[in-house]
Amino acid sequence: MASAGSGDEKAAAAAMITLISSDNEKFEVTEATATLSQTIRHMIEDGCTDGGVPLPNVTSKILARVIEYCKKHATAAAGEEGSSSSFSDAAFLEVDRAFLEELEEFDDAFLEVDRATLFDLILAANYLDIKGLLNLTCQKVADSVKGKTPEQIREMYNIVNDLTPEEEAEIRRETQWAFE
Amino acid sequence: MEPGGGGQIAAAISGSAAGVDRLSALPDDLLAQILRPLGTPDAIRTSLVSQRWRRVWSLLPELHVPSLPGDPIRFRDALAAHQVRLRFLQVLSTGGGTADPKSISIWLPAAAARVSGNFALVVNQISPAAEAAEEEGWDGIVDLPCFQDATGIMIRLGHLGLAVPPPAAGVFARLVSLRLECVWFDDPSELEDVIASRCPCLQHLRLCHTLRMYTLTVSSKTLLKMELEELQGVWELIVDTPELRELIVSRCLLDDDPIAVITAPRLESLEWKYSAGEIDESVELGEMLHLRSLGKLAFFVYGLHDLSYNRTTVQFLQRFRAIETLKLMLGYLPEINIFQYLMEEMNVLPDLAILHLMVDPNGHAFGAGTFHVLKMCTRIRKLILELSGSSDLEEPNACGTGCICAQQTNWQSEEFLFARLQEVEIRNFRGSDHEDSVVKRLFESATAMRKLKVTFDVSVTESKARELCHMFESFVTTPGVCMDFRYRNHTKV
Repeated sequence: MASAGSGDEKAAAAAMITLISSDNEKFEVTEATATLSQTIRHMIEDGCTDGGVPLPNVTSKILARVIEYCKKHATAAAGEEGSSSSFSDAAFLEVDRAFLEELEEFDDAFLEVDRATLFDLILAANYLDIKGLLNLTCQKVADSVKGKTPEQIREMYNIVNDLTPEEEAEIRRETQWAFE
Repeated sequence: MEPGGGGQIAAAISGSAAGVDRLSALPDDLLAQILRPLGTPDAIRTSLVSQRWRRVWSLLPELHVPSLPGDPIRFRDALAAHQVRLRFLQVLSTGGGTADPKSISIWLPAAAARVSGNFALVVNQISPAAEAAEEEGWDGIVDLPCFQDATGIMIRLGHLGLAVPPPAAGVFARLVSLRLECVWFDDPSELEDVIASRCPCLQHLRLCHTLRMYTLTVSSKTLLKMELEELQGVWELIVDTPELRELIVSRCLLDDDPIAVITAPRLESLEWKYSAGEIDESVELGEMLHLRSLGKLAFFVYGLHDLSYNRTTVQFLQRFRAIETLKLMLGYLPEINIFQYLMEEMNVLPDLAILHLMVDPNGHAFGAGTFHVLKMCTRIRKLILELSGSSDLEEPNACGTGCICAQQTNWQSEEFLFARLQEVEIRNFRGSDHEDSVVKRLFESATAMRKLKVTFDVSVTESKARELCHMFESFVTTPGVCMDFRYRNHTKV
């Protein structure tokens, strides 16, 4: 991995990393895709990626989705760098806007998953330290609880209410200042 | 997993997690991240979901409280019960609550202990306590604690008093930006002392709508930007700021014969807007070798001789030999027949590159005033001619025949040449006869023009805008000028 971190784009594009899921499936990805994960970026910087990167907390099913996200967003990041170095002509801005719209559509479609997968993605994004994916998935959960009563939130996410009526009354008193 | 069914049903059940609470199982920091976009009241409401959720909101690094807490003790306790540093704490009065100084003083120290970023307390309406204080004598003072870790403080207090902390309370060690609005100080010298010696990294100071501050001395070795607006009743303003780059003084000096002494040798941008009314401001400006932008000086084209407004403007203009940008406002009163034409009193401008000329013609012919200014700065590179828009006013009536504004006609026949003027921008153009004739004359003399941008007034319809574009195209005699016309919300014509 002599090419890591060098400015030589061809070498960087050719550099491949092997990611190994918890169920031992191997995924070959480009370094540009893999380094959207800060966790993997640090491993590459420390030179400990030879023989593949084991990810014992991520199943192959979830890792495949995470890689799908990273591939799309790695191209986006590369595109952004390209356009910012050139002059910002109206035509370029138009292209950028179309690209951003496409990315948004991708994100929306990407989030069309069941709840279990969503939580697995949150945990994977957190473990791999992929900021964009973590924000995206957490926002999805936030949107689902926004404006809901505590009872509705419990129902939606199978949460057991273990507060006594006295505790509930106490919490209401403690936090009343936020609702005046 | 549930028994029976086929693969499909099993998949559906695992999809809804079949009774497993995956959400509450997430680690604290992820739950806090989920609550972050909800807004503070919604986030706090989740504390009623279960034991697990009771304290999650307290991990949030930003709190936006939409109304003044009616129960200050509980609010204080809630702030004091948690350790997470707040990079943002905002308490607004928009959601309601009365600004009672005693109540605010109760929770403020707990806020000071938690905030490591920006703190904002915004009371927009005039506090009833402030009104009561007015009648009963001076009470109604909020005690400001020392925010040792905060980097920004913004306090707008609905005309309550503010008492700064005594020296023993410590230093505002990380404070970069301090903004105090709609407050009065029991003893302004205490504030001066805080700024001068207890804010070691203060860069931005804004004081606005302060009451009963009669003298103000700002002395700071670190300040880069200062805004002083409507400090009502100041008659002596002393500024001693060796590093200051930007200064705005807007309608501060309101008493008889006020004095301002400004020592800011590195100043790059100065905006000075005078007080309303007939006040003779004595402004002493120290050496300002780096000044690039001088702004919002106003001049009345018609009025009584030796108008103090105009005199101060002329003083400022004579003070600088060369600056990059000048913002100058030409004002016309609606009825001018009883007045004299005063432009001759403005006889010198600094050497300029960019002139931003704001004209409020009030229906009068404004060619004479405009060209009087332009002929003193024939070397400009860029001109912004900003006409008063009709967004919030009725279109002023033309002044009618017999108005003395028609008597100044020299500019129509005089020869002008703006040989370096490459860029012209015209704002709020409506296409009145007066406007048309000024623009036509300008373009005849701007032989080097490369770029023209015109923004039409909001009252201009699309068809009218097209018509005006054709007129502009016919006025522009030099070939190859890049033209950009905009109407309503910057839509391209």
